[in-house]
Amino acid sequence: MSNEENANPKCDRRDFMGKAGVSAFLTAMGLAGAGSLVGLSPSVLPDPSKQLKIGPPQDYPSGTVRVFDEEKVVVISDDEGIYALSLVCTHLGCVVTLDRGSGQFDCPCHGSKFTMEGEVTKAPAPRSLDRYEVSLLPGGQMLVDQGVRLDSGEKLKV
Amino acid sequence: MGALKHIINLVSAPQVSFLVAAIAFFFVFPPTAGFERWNRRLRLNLLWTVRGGILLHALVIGGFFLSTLDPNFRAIVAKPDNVPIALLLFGTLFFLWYAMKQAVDNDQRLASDQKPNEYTDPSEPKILVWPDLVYIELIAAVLCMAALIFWSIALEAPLEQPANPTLSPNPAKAPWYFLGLQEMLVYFDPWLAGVVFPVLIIFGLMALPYIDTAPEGSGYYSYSRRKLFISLFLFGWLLLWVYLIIVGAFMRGPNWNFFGPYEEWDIHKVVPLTNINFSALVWVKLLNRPLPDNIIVREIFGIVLLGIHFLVVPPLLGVTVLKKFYSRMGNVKYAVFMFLSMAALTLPIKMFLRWTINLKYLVAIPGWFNL
Ligand code: FES
Repeated sequence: MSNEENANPKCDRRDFMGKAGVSAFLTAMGLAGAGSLVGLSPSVLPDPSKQLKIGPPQDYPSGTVRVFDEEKVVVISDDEGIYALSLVCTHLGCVVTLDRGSGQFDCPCHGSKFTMEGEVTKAPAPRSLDRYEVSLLPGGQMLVDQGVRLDSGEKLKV
Repeated sequence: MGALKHIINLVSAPQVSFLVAAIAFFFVFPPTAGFERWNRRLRLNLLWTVRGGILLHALVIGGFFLSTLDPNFRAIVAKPDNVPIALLLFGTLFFLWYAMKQAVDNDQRLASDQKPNEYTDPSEPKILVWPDLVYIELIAAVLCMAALIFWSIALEAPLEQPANPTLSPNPAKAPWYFLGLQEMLVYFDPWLAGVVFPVLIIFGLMALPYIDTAPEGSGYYSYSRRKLFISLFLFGWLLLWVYLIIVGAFMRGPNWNFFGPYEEWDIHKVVPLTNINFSALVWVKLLNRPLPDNIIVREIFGIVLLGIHFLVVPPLLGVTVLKKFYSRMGNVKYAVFMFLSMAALTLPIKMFLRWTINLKYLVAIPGWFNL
């Protein structure tokens, strides 16, 4: 290497390597940071078909509680009608279990508890279990639509 | 025996054990000269001598093995998942004791005008990395290997059937190093308990040496020269981290209910209680009004309390109790220090409010912020 390179007093070779290293590092971090923004939008969309046929109302006399493991839905029938709750805990998404003895849903992860109506009785869950629309199809079957969430405690009257 | 176990079960409930541990902590690890006097008066500093150490370990290990006679206790600690956690806790105890012993040793030497143990005379011959240090590391590596091989042969790995998304194990536990977080998640929003608090705790602990830049007592073990910061560090480490791991690992059973160490993990344990938000507590119970619709109005009391906690208390302390400390630290360091301390304090405070008045959230804005 010629001496001319070192002649520049502002930036000798060692300095240059250092600066190049730092800027390479910063560029890499910047790109990685920018890339991570992609993660903010979900790349997988929840599958659209979330409708569940659960049979005719006659199968659900008052007092029935039927758990659909696969779909994570529970269908409950009481004196006022039939309703469906999601079994996914509103805290971090563990699947709650039904304790038939005490008539409540327990979350195995952080101990949230819900009533049979889905209301939270014990934190940390911030809100009630999701309640899905239950409707009667023309053929006499009932349909739970996991795409339609109800805000109020509506039940399907039979 | 039965009565004793019953008492231990009751006392280990977090509302009792955490309170007792938090108070006892400051006598064992005194943050100020006043506490240090009490520490001497109660002879707690003798814990960090060889005799005290033998007694301490004998008590803990003896108590542990005595407890394994109890079938419920044994069922929990002998789970292959939990064996390493128990070993680790003994390790934590031993190294805590060892470091404290060296620190207290040095404190005494310095008090009697001797040099600290770690002092080396510059004229003495130096120890070389190669071969001296590398040999030690080699031996340590071989011993570790041997221990791991023995362990893997002696204890079966806790393998389970393939994961089934429709079947949550109950209790569903994180790996041990996350159990402190899982325990925090019981009290806070996932965003706070899963991200903000761990970051604050870890970075807060890491930041302590940079806040306390006083040169004395550096370069060797010592306690009383930087008691405030060592005490705070140990508080964050032992009570906000290790304690929560112990509770999460050994005392949380089905449905994440609390179980004493000798209690049977009964799936149907019923814990009758209803949590209530602070807004409901004030508006409905105290003021006898319906909850206002506007979220900010509804949560205003919680927000004000939170504001007082973070914005009013620190300056107030700065001009009263911590006046000297404040003038020594300067604005920036004091602000950082206070923010970290107050943030760390929200954790035990919130836990206590949950245990005592069944408080669900102080500020509850679902989807945004639940504290
Ligand atoms: S996921 Fe249900 S309580 Fe946390």
